Amino acid sequence: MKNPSLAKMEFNNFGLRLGKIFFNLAIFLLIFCVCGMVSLLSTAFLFLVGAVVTILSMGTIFVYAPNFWNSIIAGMNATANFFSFVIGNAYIFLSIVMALSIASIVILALDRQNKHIPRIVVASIVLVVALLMMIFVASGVIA
Amino acid sequence: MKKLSVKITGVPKKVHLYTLVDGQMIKLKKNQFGAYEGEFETEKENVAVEVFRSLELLGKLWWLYSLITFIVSVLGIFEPWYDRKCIALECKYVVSLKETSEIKINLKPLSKEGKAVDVESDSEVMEVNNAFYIDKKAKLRWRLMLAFKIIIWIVAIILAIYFIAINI
Repeated sequence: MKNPSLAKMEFNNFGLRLGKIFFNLAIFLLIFCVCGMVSLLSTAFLFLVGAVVTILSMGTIFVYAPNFWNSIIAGMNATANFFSFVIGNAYIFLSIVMALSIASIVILALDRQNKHIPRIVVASIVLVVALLMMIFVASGVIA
Repeated sequence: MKKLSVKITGVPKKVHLYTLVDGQMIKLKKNQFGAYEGEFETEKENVAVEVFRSLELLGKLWWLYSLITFIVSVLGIFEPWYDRKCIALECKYVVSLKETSEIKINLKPLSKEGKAVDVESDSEVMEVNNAFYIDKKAKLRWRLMLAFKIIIWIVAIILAIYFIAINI
């Protein structure tokens, strides 16, 4: 089959594939950052669950599960560590999210064959959310 | 100067079609109804209109591009799947031009064989080629890529288990 610009077509397809990968990565990383920041709430929630169970069972929980509070504390440590890790590297993660969003928007917008409006809109929202989160972290609202 | 209007309808979203008129690729724009339209001008009496589908795995550097995207997408986790069916289409028509001619190509639903398009035109049209087919080269490359991915994932899982076991 005659195809005068096969290399160009191949490169365009490759670019489009990269754009979609960047889009997927940006969303995943943003969800990761949001989960990290929300994990502080889960630390408090775990403590609350432990306290409520202890009170409602009037202490008998320790008979059935002697390591109950150890498990609760281990869970709280894990969520607190996760929160610290995400906050400590928030600028890096959020910068990567913004870079990936911008890259995917540019690549998808350059595709002449098809319009990728839903992906471009979602990537724009991801970019704005990441920017807002970075502002919150920088201002000390979340820290 | 004779003008030929080309219109292609029935193209699914994930299918990329390319159109050549006398060996020259023409750019088609999508209209509000989802059809692709374009124009071509020539002095010739007859032109050959070809429509084909470009499969990603048929390119010369398919191995390099798929390796790069595999790595960038974290071992293929965030990568869209390549087309598994590898259905290609080849259609070529010779159109006898008037001052202004129009050819409307309606793509049929993708299938492994059979006629690929229906053509309507106000000019005389001679069919040279019109078929769907499974591109065996693309299919083989798809299988090679799948095997490569599975091997890498198995190795990655084994390494992960090993390092977790060491740390415990």
